[in-house]
Amino acid sequence: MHVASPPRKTESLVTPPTEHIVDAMREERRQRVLPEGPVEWTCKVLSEIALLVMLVLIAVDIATRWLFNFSFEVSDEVGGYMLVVITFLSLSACLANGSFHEVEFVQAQLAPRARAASRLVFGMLALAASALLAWQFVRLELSSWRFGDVAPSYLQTPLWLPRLPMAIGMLALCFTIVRTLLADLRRLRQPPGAGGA
Amino acid sequence: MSPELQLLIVTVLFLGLLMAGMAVPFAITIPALLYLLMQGGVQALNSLGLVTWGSMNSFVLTTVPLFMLMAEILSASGLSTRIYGGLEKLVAKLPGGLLQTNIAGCAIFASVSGSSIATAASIGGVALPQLISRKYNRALAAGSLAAGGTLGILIPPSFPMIIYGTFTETSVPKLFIAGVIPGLIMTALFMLYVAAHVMISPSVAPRETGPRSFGEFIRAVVDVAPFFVLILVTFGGLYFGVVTTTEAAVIGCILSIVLGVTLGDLTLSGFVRAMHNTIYFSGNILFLILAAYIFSVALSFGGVGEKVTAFIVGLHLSKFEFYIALLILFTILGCLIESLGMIVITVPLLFPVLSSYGIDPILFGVVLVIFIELGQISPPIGINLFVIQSIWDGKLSEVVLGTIPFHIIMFIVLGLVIFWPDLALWLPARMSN
Repeated sequence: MHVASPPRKTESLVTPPTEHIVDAMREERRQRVLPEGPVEWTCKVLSEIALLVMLVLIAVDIATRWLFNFSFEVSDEVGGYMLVVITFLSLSACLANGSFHEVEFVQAQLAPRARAASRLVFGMLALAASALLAWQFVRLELSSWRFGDVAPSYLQTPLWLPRLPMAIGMLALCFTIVRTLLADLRRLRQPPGAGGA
Repeated sequence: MSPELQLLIVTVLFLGLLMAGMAVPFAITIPALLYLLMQGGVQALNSLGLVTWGSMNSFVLTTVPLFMLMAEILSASGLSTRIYGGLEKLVAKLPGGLLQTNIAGCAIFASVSGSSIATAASIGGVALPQLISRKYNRALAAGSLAAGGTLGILIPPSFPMIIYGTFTETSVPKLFIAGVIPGLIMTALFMLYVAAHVMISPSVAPRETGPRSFGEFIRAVVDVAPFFVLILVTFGGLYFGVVTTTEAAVIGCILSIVLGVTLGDLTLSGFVRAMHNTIYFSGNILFLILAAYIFSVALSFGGVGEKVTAFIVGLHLSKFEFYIALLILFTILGCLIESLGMIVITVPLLFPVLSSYGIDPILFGVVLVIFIELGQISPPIGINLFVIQSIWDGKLSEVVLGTIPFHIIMFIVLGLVIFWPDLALWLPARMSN
């Protein structure tokens, strides 16, 4: 397995990265990808279904408006709900796939074990932040349910329903962060030169 | 702890996490949550649920996954690849040959893609093997693709413009249309530069032949035509006020499927792949937007926005000096922060200042996008540099070297837009509502 060349300690931030750093960045990106588990797969498929629903609903609305001068008047509302589904349910799949943007320049210059250690710290911080958000979203969900909040719209949707993906998506993200933390821990425990880290 | 010290800690944490390589949305969210906790304890987090719901339950933002899907379907159907082949016949006779095809291809692909990465990757993936085999100057070839890719966010649709429009409640269709003339000027100047460079040093590019027969010419036109149909229907409809931005994106998706099946090689598995990629790319952008809203909540809670506005206004800068300050700020940020991150961090702070300088929000949107374009080809983290470098396995230094003249051209366009705002504002002023 390819192991990145030794890092250069004095690389300036304004100097173009050298070729070995680019290789290390690629390797680093490859290592971040987790095999997609049932949670990530389900979240991804549900996000894709939401995208299709959004597409079909708006297309039908355009067609009926142009052809029959008639609108169901739900595409704005349901389109927004579908976006909420995509935003939150895609999070765990994106994390597993290594899709989030990162500034990789410093990471690529670290030794493999230092990189794994820093990933562990990032993972714990991300887990804390995601858990805080999940807690707030669950609170919102429970209060929407308890108070029977309803959208002031044509559909009068009970709001606990479209708000549910916020809580589920954030909890799924927490789960995937724990998976990445475990993977980073395994890499950290590997003896130097064993590959993978 | 004094408010200044709290702010300093949070800023240092934010920059530290970002530079150390944490995923950008988390690097924004964590300091924002910490700042909220410092300011008001756990109670300060109570508004997050409703703020998040209010921000992400947005019909305007549906354009992000829909435009992404349109570009992905075109790629999956092979039409993106064929456009290069068609343009190769149509514009390669110009001085610079395939280098001109690179720029024109990027400009046209930009009209169906809101991302510069997708533009650089799609056109670069097709172009680079041919450029290398035909012995084009490597630096110029890579530079033209990295810089050409940045047109993806100036020529509509543009994800940075959607994000800017959502945050500032500026009309996204007007922002899109405002980018058209500066985008075309930039394309023309890129092509002029390539032609001038080749005329001065002919060895950098071999001479290419155009279509050898009328049949070949027609085939080239057929390869390019689907894109023009898409551009005409989606953005024509937007300009004449026939459709909204979301509807334009939906029509674009459906048309892409029809064109992909009839003229391209779109299969069910290709469509599924396009859906997967759309979710991965959109999820990233939407999480960034969510993080930015949380960041905005933290800024408002601590009254930071007002303080920054008061500070900037108190400097009594002229409009020109303000732009110079922005140039310095974005040049530094462009070297440190990824492009969309740059928007979501700076816009909440800078937008309130614009009215005191009499700067039109639509003009500022265009200026901001050009600053971001510059950041995307600025070392050390300019994303397009890496996109091109990763495709051809060449040297990154060659890509960086090749983009320098294009940097200068972008500065020229930036100057033109700042001194003649009508370049950006003339078309939006004539749009139908």
